[in-house]
Amino acid sequence: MTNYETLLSVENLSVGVSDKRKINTVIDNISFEVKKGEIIGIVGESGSGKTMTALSVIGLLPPSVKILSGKVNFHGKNLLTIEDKEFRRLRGSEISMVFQDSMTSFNPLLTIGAQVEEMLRLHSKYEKEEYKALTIEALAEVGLSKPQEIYQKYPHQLSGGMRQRAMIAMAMITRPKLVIADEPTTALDVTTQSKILGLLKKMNEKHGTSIILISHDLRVIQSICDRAIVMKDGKIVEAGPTQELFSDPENEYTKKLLAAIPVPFSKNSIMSNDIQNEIFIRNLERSGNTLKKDIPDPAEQKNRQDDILMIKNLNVFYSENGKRLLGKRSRKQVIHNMTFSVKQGETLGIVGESGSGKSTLAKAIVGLNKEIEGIININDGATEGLVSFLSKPQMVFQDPYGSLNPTKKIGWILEEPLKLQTKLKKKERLAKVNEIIREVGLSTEHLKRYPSQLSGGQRQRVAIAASLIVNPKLVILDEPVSSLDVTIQAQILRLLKDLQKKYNLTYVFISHDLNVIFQICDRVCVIYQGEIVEMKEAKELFFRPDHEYTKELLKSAMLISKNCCHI
Amino acid sequence: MKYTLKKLATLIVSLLITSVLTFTAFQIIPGDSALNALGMDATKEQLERYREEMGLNKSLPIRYINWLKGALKGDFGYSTQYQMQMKAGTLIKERLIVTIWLAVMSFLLIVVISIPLGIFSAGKKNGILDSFITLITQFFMSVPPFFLGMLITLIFGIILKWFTPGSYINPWENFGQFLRFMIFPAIAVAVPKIAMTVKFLRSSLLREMELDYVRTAKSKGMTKTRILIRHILKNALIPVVTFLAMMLADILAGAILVEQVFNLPGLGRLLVSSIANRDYAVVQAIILYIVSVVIIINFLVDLIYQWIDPRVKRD
Amino acid sequence: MKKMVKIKGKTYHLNYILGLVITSLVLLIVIIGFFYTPYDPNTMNAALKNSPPSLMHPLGTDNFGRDILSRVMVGAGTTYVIAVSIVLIGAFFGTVVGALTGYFGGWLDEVIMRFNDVLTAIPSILLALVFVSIFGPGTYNIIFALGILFVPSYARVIRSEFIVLRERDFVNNAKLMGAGSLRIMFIHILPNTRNVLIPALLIGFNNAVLAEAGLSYLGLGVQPPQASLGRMLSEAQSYLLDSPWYALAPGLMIILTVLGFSLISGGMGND
Repeated sequence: MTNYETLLSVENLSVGVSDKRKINTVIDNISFEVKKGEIIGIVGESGSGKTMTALSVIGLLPPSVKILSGKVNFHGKNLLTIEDKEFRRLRGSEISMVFQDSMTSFNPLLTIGAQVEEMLRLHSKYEKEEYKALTIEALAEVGLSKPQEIYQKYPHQLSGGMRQRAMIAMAMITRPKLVIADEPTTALDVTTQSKILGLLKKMNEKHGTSIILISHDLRVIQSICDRAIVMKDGKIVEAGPTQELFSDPENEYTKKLLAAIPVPFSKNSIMSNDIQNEIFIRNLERSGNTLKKDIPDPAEQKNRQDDILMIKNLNVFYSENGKRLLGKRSRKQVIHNMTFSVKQGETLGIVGESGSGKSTLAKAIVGLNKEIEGIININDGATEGLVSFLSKPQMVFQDPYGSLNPTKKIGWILEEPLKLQTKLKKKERLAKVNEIIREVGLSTEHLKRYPSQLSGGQRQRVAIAASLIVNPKLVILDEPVSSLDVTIQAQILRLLKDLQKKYNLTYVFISHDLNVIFQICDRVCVIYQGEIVEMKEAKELFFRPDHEYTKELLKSAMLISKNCCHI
Repeated sequence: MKYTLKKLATLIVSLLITSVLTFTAFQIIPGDSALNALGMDATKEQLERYREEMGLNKSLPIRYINWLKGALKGDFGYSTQYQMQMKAGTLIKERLIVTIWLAVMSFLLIVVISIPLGIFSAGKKNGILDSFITLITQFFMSVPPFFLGMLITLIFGIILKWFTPGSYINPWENFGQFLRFMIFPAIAVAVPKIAMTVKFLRSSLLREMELDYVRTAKSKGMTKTRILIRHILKNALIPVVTFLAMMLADILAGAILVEQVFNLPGLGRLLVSSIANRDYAVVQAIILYIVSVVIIINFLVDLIYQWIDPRVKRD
Repeated sequence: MKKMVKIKGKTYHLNYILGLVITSLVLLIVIIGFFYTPYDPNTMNAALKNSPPSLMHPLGTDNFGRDILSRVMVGAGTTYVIAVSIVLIGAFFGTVVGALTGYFGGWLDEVIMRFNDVLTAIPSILLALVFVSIFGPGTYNIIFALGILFVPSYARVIRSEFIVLRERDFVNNAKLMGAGSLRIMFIHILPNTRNVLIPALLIGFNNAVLAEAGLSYLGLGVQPPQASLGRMLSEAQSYLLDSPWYALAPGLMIILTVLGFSLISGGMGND
């Protein structure tokens, strides 16, 4: 329902951070408009300036950040120059914001009801009883069942999805003209994500509220936005109606972002496999990624005959770190009676949402979690010896910030496994370290640095190097690219693929991100609540899923088209 | 309920452990208490009789139980540092009032002064005034309370003559005079603690201000003052409550030292003289009292915690 | 902006610099005091009893005619040595206990923590007094007593750090690399506690100085004729009216010692 009246217009906005004497430009001369009733998406990777743009509009820039030039016109007023008092009046009543992390964005000591109601109390005058009634109504409107109970509850007592709904209720209760949503779904499960986006869309349709939706995830933008703006390094590189932007991008950067998602699944796709294949291959070629070899090499086929990992009737438990004094340890069973095997040289993907048990499984395979029943058989032919030494399975962790010891130099981190597992002398160790750091695409310069001096992508390369330096045959990767920007993801995946080929490695690749799984895995295994639900060749799974849960996952992960969402 | 019961159990166990430790500690002291009490000239029969009467010949656990039974009634045996046969319990009761008053007055001073000062200094963050305030608080934390007591005596007593040093008067004789005198030792005890509390409150407030929910509150259009009062203050004060409870132990320690400076007839001075005179019955009793009070107050604070912080699980 | 000072390109807070200056001054006095004092601190001179500051005796003389400046210099040295010893004992054993309980957890952890809780609830002066009353006063006794008393707070601090750090992935990585528990605890994890440990050491030093001063003031610490700042203060008390300088010198010395470290650790925290 678009009315062609302009609600917000940003003109030549530039914003900078003062760093010692210099000014670093964070937003560089951007201009865009938001019309009444419209949903606009701002998409970009971290550092693109999208959050700063949002904060500039609502006037919440941190004190170190200064407006350098430009105007932000809202309803005829320039928000950058109006008085504080008036801006405060606008905030909450005409413009409100929904934040990413709903747990920390609520005051932990006040009830949900009190905080949502506060919005009303600040901007309107009602009778005492009316406040509560209106608040409960607002909570119901966002799809929270038993709103009277929610009213009394504290933020930590709600689930992530419920809290996010409450935040939306809080932002909408005063019927503002504009709502800014900054990564509102990033912290949520894929299935919850689509529900929240649907909710936002419903609010827009019902009340005519304009929305600025900010995200790094293109699929989120594509799902509900009318128009989209792509930002990079503080500038707008491309803008336009979402459909056009996504199906026919002009700018190189936009193309790169899109290509990092290989398959433009559409919900109503009853397209035949061949057509999907074609689209897929075309996209790959466009982005220059040739990650998958469609026709398996016969020589490699032979290598794949042997099972390197065999899991049989595996049960894995997890207990709270021994707190109870009197032996009553709460032990949960996370993995139930699992059986599967992995062949040498292949990449097995393990897909599941958070809570499915995939990390616990990973830890059990490498031996970090010893509370298991059943069989884990690793047949990697590890032999002792000076020259050819093979090691137990290694693991690459998700968070490159947490998986490297912040107080040690990179060189030390890489040398440590050699110190512990081999009998090599110092010179030989250093030689190996130098060798492996180059293998992962970094230089010996990096060896002298500390993890905090490297970027996320670089750190993950180091993590990969650390796990490979002891020549394992089997590597478990637990969400290794999930916290990286989309363009960096593609680089790391390519690195993994190259290394696999070179050293004949076997990967068990865990992720919740189906698109990443699709890019790199030969076979895929879907886990739900600790059990294998389905296990197939990757393409088979994606195009011809059998199990209901798999279908659900695929549906949620797909680019959600405009007409699909139900709350 | 479960939370309360659990804390109650911890309380009782702690108290028991304390009593056992206190009792046992003084049993390993070399030396014969009979000899101590009766002197070197006592005959063997006299010493034996003393031991019989005092129950010193019984085994350790039995002696402990006897002692504990007495302690719960307030009877700690006889003090040995004075000529007259005084019951340790009586001595302590006399001195208790002074120390309690000192502690209470100090605590009140701390609470009343630190909270506004803490809020004020948090508001002035990053100003030159802020550095100055930090300097002042660090300074006062560096002053030993007994030295401060001496300075107060020097400046307010001797130079300014606002009070006469040494003119302590019992509360039941002249309550007004008592208070007017006690305020000075109370200040000596309180000042370093005020500095610590201001620093702690300030950092607690500043930490809260950085949190996300403050940003949410701003986005709702609230004024800074409203945010401070309705949101930040309550959250920031919670850790301060535990801090103040811990402070109690410090106040008692400070009291012990300050009593010495101002010559107050309180538990602190009694403790010191008892140690010097090896009057172990009294030492045991005082230690037991003070430690128990601290443990009980910590327990009460734990209880209160579950009402002020909803995140603490109460089943 | 907080008052900043630029030295060689790095910015520091004014307070931090002030702290460094003060501490260096105090250290200088202490170190000189080890080798040279204007007078022998224990030589009495009845003729010069209680004389005010003069050219001959810049800080005056005490009630035995001993030079106060010399006694303050030596006394500060004694205080330093005692405080450092206390902190070393407390921090060393505290770190070991904290690391072990924090890393392994289990029922041993529970027991030790309950014990810790009881100990920290009690004012340390009190415990020190108990100790002294059992074993008698004296320099070595108070080093031992206070050192042990400091163990629980270091144990607690290190333990909390270890509880958080042991869940981090770099620890998991270390296990996969083949590192044993001891190696992980002390080579991998411990360096990560330095942000917490170093300020704790400084604060511990300050607390030790104040505790020792308190005990010596009560007559239960350093015994005469050895000079100690706390002891000097208790002697000075009787002469407050007539010879206030007697108290001011040692008192000021204590303040400067503690203040110096306070400012340094405060400056570190804010950076």
